[in-house]
This record gives sequence, C-alpha cells and structure tokens, in this order.
Amino acid sequence: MKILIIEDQKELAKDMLEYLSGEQYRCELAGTYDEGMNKIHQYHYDCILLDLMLPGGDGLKLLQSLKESGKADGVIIISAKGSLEDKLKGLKIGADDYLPKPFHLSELAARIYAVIRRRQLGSLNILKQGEITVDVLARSVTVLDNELILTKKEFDLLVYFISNKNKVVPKTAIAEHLSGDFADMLDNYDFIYGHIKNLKRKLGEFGADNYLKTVYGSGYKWEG
Amino acid sequence: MGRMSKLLHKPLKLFSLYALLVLVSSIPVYYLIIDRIWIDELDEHNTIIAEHAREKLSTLKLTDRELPAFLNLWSTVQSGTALSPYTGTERFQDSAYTLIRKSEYGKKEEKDRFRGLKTLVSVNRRSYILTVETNIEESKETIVAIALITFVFFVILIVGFLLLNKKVAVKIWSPFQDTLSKLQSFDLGGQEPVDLVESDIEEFKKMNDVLRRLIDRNLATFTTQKKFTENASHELQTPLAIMQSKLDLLQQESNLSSRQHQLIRDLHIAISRTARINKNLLMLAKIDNRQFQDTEDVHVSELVTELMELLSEHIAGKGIKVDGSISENVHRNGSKVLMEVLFQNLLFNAYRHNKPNGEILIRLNEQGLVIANTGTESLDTDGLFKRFSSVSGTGTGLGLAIIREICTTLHWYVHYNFENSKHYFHITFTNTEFPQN
Repeated sequence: MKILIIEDQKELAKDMLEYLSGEQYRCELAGTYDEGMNKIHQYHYDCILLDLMLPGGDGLKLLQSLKESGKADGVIIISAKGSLEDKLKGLKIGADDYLPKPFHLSELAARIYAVIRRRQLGSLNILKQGEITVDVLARSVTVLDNELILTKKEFDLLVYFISNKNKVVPKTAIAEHLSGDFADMLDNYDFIYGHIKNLKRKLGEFGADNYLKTVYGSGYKWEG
Repeated sequence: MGRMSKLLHKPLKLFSLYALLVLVSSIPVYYLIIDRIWIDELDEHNTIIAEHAREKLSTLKLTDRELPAFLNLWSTVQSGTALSPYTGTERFQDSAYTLIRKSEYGKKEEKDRFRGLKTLVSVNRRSYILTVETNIEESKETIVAIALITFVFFVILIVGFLLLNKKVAVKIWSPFQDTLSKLQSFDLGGQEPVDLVESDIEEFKKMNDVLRRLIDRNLATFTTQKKFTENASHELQTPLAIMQSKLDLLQQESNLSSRQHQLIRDLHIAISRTARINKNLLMLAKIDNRQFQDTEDVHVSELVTELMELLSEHIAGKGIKVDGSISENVHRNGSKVLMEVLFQNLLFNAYRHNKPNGEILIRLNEQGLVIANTGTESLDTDGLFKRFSSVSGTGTGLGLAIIREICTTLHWYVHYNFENSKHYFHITFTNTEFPQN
C-alpha cells in the first residue's frame, strides 16, 4: 500500500511517516503544492493525505486536479482550518474523509484503513487476525467459525485496534474515536473501560484473549 | 444623580424669571412716567384755561354794581374754577398743587384726585385769585391698570417662549436626536458602520465628526481583535498537532517505564484539553465573525433526539434518569451547525454537571427548549455566560459563552434559573417559524 503525505509542516509529516511506515504501508512525502502536483500525476497512491494550506497553492485545487484526471486515489484532507465550508467543499470535490488537526496518529491510521478498505472490493474487506475473521462490510466477527456477537462500539473498537496493529493506542484517542460528535467536549475517559472490558471478555470466551494488551495506565495495544 | 431635566428647559426657566423681573420692575417706572406726563399736561391745561379767563375777564367792562352778580354767575357756570377776592398785601405767587377731595358730580363717598392752579387775575382793577382744578386719574387706578397690562404681556411672553422652545427643540435638535438614536442602536459586534446625518450646525457637525472617527477606530480595533483570536487559534492547531503526534510516537517506544507511561497519559489529557479550548475559541471567533449566516430549515426535534441518543450511553453510565418530552415536528430556520453545537453544549452540560443517579429534564415545543439537570446550588448568575467565568476543573470555560453567542446569532433568548434542586436553561425561539406546507 502506498501513501502520499502532502504536508508542509516537516515535523508533522515526519511523524505521520514514522507511524504509518511498517508492514502495511510505504509512505512518500511532498512539502509543497508543486511537489504534490507532480507526484499525484506521476504515480498511483492508495491514499493521499492532503493538507489544505500549502506553500505555492490551495490544497483543494490539487484535489480538483486529481479528480479531473480521473484518478481513483483515496484522499483524506488534514487541515488546521477546521472550517465546515472547507470540509463540505473538499468532500464535494471528492475527498473521502476530512480530519481536523490536531489528531491522534492512531485515528489517522484508522481513517486511512477505512478509506483503503472502502475503495477495494472483495477479499480486502475480510480481515484475518490469527483465528479471528472480521467481515467489515457485514460487520460480523467469527473466531474459528464461531460467530462472535459484538455491540456497535465493540466492533468499532476491534477494527480500530486491528488498523493500529502493534501500536500503543492512547486512551484519549479511543475515547475521542468512540464519542463522535461529543469528542470536543469529553473530559472523562472512564466510559471506555466498560467497552474494552466487554470486548476482552468476549474474545476470551472464544480463546482469543492474547491479542489485546493493556499498556500500564496509558493505553492499549493489539499484538498480532 | 439628581432629578433629570431637559437641556432646553434650563434656559427657559431662566428666561422666564428674567422676563418676570424686568416686567415687574417696569411697573413703578411706567407709573412714575405716566403720572409725570399727566401732571405736566394738566398743569398746561390749567394754565391755558387761566390765561383764557384772565384775558376775557380783563376785557370785561362791568360796573361795581354788576360785579357781585357776575362773580356769582361765574362760580355757578364755570365748573372747576373759582374766583375769590385777594386780600393779601404781598405779591401773589402762582402755585400748582394736587389735592384729593370729593367730586361734585361723582358718587357721594368717592374721593377724586385733582390738579389745581391758583393765579392772580384782575377784574375791574381789583385783584382776585382764580383757582382752576381738573380731575386727574388716581394713582391707585393707574398702577392697577399698568400691572394688569404687564401681567397680560408676561403671559403672552411665556406662552411664546414655550411654543418657540418646542419648535426649536424639535427642529434645531433634530440632528442631535438622530445621532443619539443611531448611537443607541449601535452594536460593535454588528460591524455595521453608523451613518450619521450631515448637519449645517457647527457644534453638531463637530460632534458627529468626532463620533465617526471614534466609531471607525473602535470597529477597526474590534475587527483586528476578532481576526486575531481566529488567527491565533488557527496557528495553535499545527503545534498542537505536532505535540500530539510526537506523544503518540513516544508512546510506541518499547522500554518505557510505568512512570513514563503515566506521564504520557497525563500529557495526552492536557493536550486534549488544550485542543478543546482552542477549538471552542475558534468556534466563538467564527460566530463573532458571522461565519454562520447560512440558514436552512432545521428539524429541531430530530436533531435533539439524535444528540440524546449519542449521549445516552454516557448518561446511562452515570445512572442518570431522563425525563424527556420532545414535541414532534418542531422546525426552525437558521444555521444547522450552530443549532447542533448549541444543543450539544446544553445536553452535555446537563450530563457533565449532574450527580450520579441524578435527573435530566428536556422539554421541547414550538416555543422553546428547556433543559434541566440535578444540582446542589444555584450558579452565580453574574457573568455566567461570560468567557472563562466558570472554569471548572476540566471544562473549557467556554461552553456557556458559546451557548449565549449562538442564541444571539439565531435571535433566540437564553435564560438560567435554579429551582427545586435543578439547573434550568430555557431557550426561547423567537424567530419566525418555517412555513410548513
């Protein structure tokens, strides 16, 4: 999987690259409008992370150019502006998602995962993790052919963990991911314990309790 | 502050007092002058009569026998004059005098004032004193007449002052009233410059010029301030994003101690809170900068129900009971984003500031929305809706400020009160309802 990060903030670009690079993704960087424009027209990427305020031009124009040339690359806008207009405009032009800064790298990884999955048909919508099989489209989970009944939140958590495999996911990131619209107000993260406890218990009942680990007081890690 | 009086009434009072003073003091002056003229005229009149009599008498050719009969006749016929023989030895001096006596023809008890003249005349070479007396207006009557006329003029003067004053007040002060009413309706946040009418009166022109400059400067400062908040919040997003991603990476390090993990967790919480405050500030700046002017028909009932569902898990987690009564099909015109943020804030506050096993009350109808939650004591209503006025341990201190700003923008009204151990927030929808076909 190839990812292009078009972001002029070097530090942030480097962090994204470091977090995402690994078994799954190969990442490239572009720091300016022109550099980004060259790369999107020269190569194919599975997902493009696009900052809107770029030296040399507006990121939305870059997106427009990409869509006009008929390319099917997935695009996630990452912007500090956070304005609704930009979001709506971006989605209208053809971006797949919009992530306002600041964001957790684990959230970014989950969004990329979702965008890529949505654009690929068939086998890629079935995730396999040892004895666990997750059908993302049907929202069903089986452990060794036994169906595991999960709540919506537990399912979301599971996918979130799998898309951040072998990474420590901070509690705040999970809380914000689960609380959706209320994320900007939430100041108490305790409610996630219940969901995680239940998910662990259900996996454990099917003998799959060795994946999700608690990392001291700071977060969780899916080891696979 | 003492009793307020209109600017124009002050000179009017003074003017009236001054007019009264002048007119009152004119009464004796008029009297003295008129009386003096009277006396002069009557003296002249008496002299003419005396001279006439002297001339006629001197030409009379009477015998000594006829004289007494003539003198008798004279006294009878010539009213106001009398002839009496002069018996003195020294030279007679003419004299003018004033006396008050009964009139021969007036009412019995009434006394009149007379001006008299005594002069020496000769009849048949004998000396007689001729007395001429003419009735003169009494001083009392003159003074009363003058006072009456003066009073009438005073009344005319005051009525004139009042009428003119009213006219002047309306006409001359109209540019001032215009400026005043425009200043009263001026709203700094509205960013609408004040259109002051040009005046050809120097003082008003000067005042308007000064006001215009003052307002322009204030508007400019206010705009800069608002832009500054928005720009500052924007600029903060990037370093915040870098802090958060660095921390995310730090957490991936393999040999962190338990202590280090805890520090990282605390940092995550602090950064999240900073990001929340920053987002709320940005939200406020955007509302201030009128970036939510779009209006659409919003299904309020649906919106509130959806938000309640999103929050239901948290509410249940705290054992809170919900007493909801949401009318169906409540629609309102306005920015959907603003309404969403408003209801989110209200509902979230009701959840966050609630007690375990407390209660949340929701009432939505065509008139408005009431959200209440269990609490211990009334909030300090002074500055309740001001920014950072109620920073609790973990909140941003901006939630209520956002609620009020949104209500102002939507032309809605928000009110807080504490009753039966509950915090009540009343939102009154006052904008026109979306027509339903």
